[in-house]
Amino acid sequence: MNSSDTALTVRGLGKHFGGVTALDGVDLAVRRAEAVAVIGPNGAGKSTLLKLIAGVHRQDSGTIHLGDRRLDRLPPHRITRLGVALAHQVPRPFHGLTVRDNVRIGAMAAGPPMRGPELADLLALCQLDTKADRPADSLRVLDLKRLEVARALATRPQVLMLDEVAAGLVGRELDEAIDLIRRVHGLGTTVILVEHIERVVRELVDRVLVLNWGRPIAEGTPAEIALDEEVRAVYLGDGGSSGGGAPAANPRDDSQDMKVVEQDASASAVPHGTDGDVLILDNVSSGYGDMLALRDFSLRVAPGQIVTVLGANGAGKSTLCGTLVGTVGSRTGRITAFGRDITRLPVHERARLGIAYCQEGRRVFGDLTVAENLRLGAPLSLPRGEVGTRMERVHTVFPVLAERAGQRAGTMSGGQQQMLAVGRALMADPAVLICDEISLGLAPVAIDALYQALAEINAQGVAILLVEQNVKRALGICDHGVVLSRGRVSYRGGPEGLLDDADLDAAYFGAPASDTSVPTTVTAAATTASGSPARTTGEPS
Amino acid sequence: MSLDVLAAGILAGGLYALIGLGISLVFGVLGLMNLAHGELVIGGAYLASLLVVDAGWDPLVALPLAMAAMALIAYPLQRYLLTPLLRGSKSAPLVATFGLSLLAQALFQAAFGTHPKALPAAYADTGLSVLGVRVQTVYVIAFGLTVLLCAATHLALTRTRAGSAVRAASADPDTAAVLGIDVNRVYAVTFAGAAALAAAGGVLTGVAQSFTPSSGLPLLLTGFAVMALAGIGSVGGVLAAGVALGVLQSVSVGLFGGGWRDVVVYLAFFLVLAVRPQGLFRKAHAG
Repeated sequence: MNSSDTALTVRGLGKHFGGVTALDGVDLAVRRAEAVAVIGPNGAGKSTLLKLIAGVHRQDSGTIHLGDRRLDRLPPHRITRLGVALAHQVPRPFHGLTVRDNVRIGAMAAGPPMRGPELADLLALCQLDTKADRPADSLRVLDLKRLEVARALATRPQVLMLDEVAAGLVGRELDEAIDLIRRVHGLGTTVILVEHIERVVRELVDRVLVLNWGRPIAEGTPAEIALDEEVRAVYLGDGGSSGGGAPAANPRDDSQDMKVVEQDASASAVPHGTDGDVLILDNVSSGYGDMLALRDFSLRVAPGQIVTVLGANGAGKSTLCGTLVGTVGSRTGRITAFGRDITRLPVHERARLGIAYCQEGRRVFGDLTVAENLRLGAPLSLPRGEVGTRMERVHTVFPVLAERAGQRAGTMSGGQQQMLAVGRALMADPAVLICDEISLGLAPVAIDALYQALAEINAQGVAILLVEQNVKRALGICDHGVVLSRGRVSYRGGPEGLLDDADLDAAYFGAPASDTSVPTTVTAAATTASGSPARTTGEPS
Repeated sequence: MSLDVLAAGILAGGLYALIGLGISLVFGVLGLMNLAHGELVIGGAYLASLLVVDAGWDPLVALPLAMAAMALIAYPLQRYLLTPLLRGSKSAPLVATFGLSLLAQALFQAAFGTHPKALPAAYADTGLSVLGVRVQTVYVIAFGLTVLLCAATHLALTRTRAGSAVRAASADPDTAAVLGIDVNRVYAVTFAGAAALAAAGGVLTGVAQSFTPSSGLPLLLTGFAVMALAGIGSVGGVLAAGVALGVLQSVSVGLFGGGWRDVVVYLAFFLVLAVRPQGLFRKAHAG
């Protein structure tokens, strides 16, 4: 491509964080005034790509050019001055400063100071002109997003990179955000968009790059990407077991009712002498700052049950987990565990009640040995002998943890670390195990082993709340499924109600379930990628 | 350069390490720069003086009591004052420890006066000969105790479940809480442990030299220098850094005279921060 019409060229970009490959051989050429979207599931490397371009991180291999100028050896402020700006998903304005001053400070980074009229134009473009003298702290979500974009634009960028700026917006707010980006693009700014919300991508860009585990897997127009089978597979999981051996590869027979919200416990053993439900969430809303990630959510988990919560990125799944274990505070509603109200209980006390949590990203203590990690899962007051007994039980489920007992956890493979995280959670002898994305980033054979272990754990009477992006896997093991879409429930019932592709699409992406014409359905499914339902309200059908 | 100078440096370095260990522990686990650490040291010396000067005890007998007493004072300070502040911002607890430092100095002054005090002991001024090298007895005792306390701290952190809980809370407090570890309590226990180590350092300092209510500051700065040299997270590194600093100081005094004592310490401090911010005895973190 001729450099005169190329704004930004990325060649063979690679980046590792420790042993994790975040980006591997990514090429991208963006023409002047073009709008390009980068999409992909969690951990695909989208944000890493933007951060490498902005100079926040350094690549391990490859080059980045702005026109003919090489960027990848320059410090971030030089890159900003050359005309590359990055707007973040979570706006971080300077608190205590007015909106105008926040934008003006952005302008200071870019050479000649922005004079009054230019600043006024920029504020008007971002529809902040009427709020220019208000303190940034007083802004609501949409205006904070506008301010984030305005601050990025104040550096007079040739290339504007937007990292999920539409995240957390709903309804009219989303329309407004799309309009803003369209206006900015209309002024001739090159736009690179990382986005989960399908509508934003479809309405704004001509070209989409799809990443998965740091590698480009598809590139094309939004319509072409929508028809790409590989992209669809990436978003909906690998489609079941690879080796076949998993015992729970088929949905259980004991969950026939589509609306079995309060279906009877299928458990044979009821641990901890609880009667009634293990966990009850009653109209719980929670989120971060001004954004509600979970809205009026209700759920019951019966003893010994496996409940799966599905949904695309940003649907509110991890917020749900955080709300349950107490790392995210709930705004409204009530959470009950084993008949006790735990809505205001601190994190460690909830854990001691028998709620074990495997966080997304494993979160093992890398500097500690495997055995030390496991022991930490047991209460400190537990006698040594009992700790040993529990470790043996974990070792029978995950023999590799016995072989690696003395090894530092950080040096194990991803699959082994995930096994350690699950094993560590089991050391608490929990009544319920919450697993957040335990198949993320693992090879199918490792996922087989984990799901087999989950079935064994469940057979011992432990209820499991399984939060997954890997739809087919989760549906293969669960008694009851809930699909979240932008913080609200879009499906609730037995797993068999989601096995059909059209039904799954409807719950996941909001495509009309009755519409069976293939192109339409697939388009709705795959372009949404990890995105939004066509119905912005996302109410359960 | 005589071996005497070298030996004196090594032994004095033991005391530096003991003071640096508490600072390093609190910073490593809580992420808190405890500006009142010098007063924890001097507080230990004053507490011991109640038993040694007024009741005639041997300082080494008073030492474990002073350690326990400082730990009991420190625990609620962390649990009910500093930990709630840690939730807010990074600077609030830092400022609070500075306030505590001033408050403690005022308390020392009110209770004990401004006159220099010392902890009298039979071995305070005697010397002994080891392999033909003359050393002060008190520094030999201090060095031995330091090695013992460092080893005990190291074993407690690496060989016990409570120790792994401390390391877990240090590495990832959120995950530790999810596992049922009461992170606030871990913080308070760590702070109390650091205060006990400080008190031990205070008693030994009090035997070796005299102290006043304002003696804490130079001790704090020496402790910071030790931590900077050692880096965070290695008890052995702290011991090595203390000894290195002691030798450096002793050698420079021997070469340039007593006026250069502190200059050399702070030069080493800044050089290490500039060249190897992760410390001399710690591998650079990947990523």
